[in-house]
Amino acid sequence: MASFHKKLEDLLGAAMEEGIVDGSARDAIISLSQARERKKGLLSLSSVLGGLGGFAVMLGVILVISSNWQQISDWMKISGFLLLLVGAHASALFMRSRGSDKHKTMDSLHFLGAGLFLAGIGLIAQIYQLSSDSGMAYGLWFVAILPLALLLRSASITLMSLVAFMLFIYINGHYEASIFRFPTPDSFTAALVFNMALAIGLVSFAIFARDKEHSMMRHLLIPGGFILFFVLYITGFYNEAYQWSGSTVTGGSYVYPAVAILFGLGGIGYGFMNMQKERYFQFLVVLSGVLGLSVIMLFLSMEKMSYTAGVAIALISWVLWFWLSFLCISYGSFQQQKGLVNIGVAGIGLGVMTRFFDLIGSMLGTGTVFILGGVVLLTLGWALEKWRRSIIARWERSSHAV
Amino acid sequence: MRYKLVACMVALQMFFFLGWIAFEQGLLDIEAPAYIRVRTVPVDPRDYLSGQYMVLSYEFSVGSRWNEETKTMEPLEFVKQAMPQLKPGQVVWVYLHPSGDVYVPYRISSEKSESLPVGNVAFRGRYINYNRFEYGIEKYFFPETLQQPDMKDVTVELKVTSRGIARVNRIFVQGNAWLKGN
Repeated sequence: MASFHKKLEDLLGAAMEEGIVDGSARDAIISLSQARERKKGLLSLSSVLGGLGGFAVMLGVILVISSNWQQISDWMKISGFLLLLVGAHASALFMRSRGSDKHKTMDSLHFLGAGLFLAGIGLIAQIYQLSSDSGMAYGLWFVAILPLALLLRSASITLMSLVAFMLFIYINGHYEASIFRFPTPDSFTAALVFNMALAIGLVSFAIFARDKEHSMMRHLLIPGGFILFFVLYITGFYNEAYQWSGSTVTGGSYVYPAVAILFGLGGIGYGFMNMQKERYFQFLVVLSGVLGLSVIMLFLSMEKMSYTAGVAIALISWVLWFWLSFLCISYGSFQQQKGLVNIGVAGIGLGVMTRFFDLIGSMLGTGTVFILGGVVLLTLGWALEKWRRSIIARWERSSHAV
Repeated sequence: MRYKLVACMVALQMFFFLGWIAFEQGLLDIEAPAYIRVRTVPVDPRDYLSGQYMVLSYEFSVGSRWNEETKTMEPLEFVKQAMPQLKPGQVVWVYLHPSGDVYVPYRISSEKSESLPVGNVAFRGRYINYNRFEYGIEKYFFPETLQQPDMKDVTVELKVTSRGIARVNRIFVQGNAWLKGN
């Protein structure tokens, strides 16, 4: 690939030939570009060295403290921790009160403080020999840092809150004494449904809150999208997992998946109410489809599930997977978002490869599946292309009218 | 205003930790705690993922025993009455009385007795499932430089507060204090 300078020189050469710029302007632009590149290079080098140095110092301090951990008194550890916790937040607030424009530094300090809360729980547990497998530590962490995420409108603390929340749900959902524990033995389906519905809620709220500057939900599009693709991929193998359904052990609860479904439903509803751009419609349809699938899975898992039902769920999830991937490509092309196009292409590639290895068997079986899969892909491609053309045509008509 | 609220949140977090420490230090207790020693039973070794700690299990951590003759799990004497009514997650009370150097369980119940015979101790736990009970005293953190002792030789000194909360205070190996307590 040609360097930026080479491309710039070629472009300026062509511009000179066309008479757009003269020789002096060409030279001035090239020297400006070179000066900027040098400055950028210096900045990059200094920031890389600075980052490495900071990391090395931090690692060194951690190791020195760790090697003397038993010699440090409990009160010293507690005081040090409280000082760090308050110090991190106080430094950031002080900088803000002074009108500092170092937003990344302030955000990092708050992020450090939010992470330290969990470290504090671990420290107290270690000092006072406390033990609990209920996940309550993560629940406390979530409750403590969520208000910070909302007040600071911090993307990083929002993501940390999501991690804390999911850790709490997983650990508490599998804790035998929890009244909200996932139903056994099919806690797998309940956890899958929880994930699906949560992802739907996150993605829906995030897409439609994107234009609202102060909304925290817009930061949750990437993690929500990741969870969505991940659970759809896993559900693609549901034909192997359906036999875990039909709980015979009492005591399990459907509270967590049910609440997640309500959250997902809220997201979809919010999406339909705030949908000003028509191109989002198909996204909402797919998201509604995934939510519908999660509700069906939850109901079917309450009783012993048939093989046919397991296979049908897997098949529906494949269709939704490919549909979602196509939508990413289509929407990414419209918006000229390379990242989204790449995600869509990767999704289709991964889907085809996975299904090939998953379904390989007899010639007749594999052939049938490939024919069906091909028909689904062709139909989806045709429908999406038709939809894309209709939108472009409508845009052109409306721009002519203006 | 928003940043004042952030400062309030941070202050709240600090007070949470200070309150927790005060609670663990026993500063909020009206009466002095009781210190009792109990026997342990061998279980799985330490878990490296969660740091260096040993897993502690006690005579009152399980509610049944395998009977070789009948080939069935039979509830232990001290839990026989309560076991049929217990549900996972339910709060239970374990009652112990002194027997030689250690305290041994004589009853597990879902109800707290208002009065205890002199010298006896009771503390709170939770019925988990499959005859298991947890009391929040199942881990003991210790330095990386030490080897885990043989659990057959281990007894544990528990600190039991007047509110019925038990904490591990010290570990004894063959009757000698292994590490100093809090």
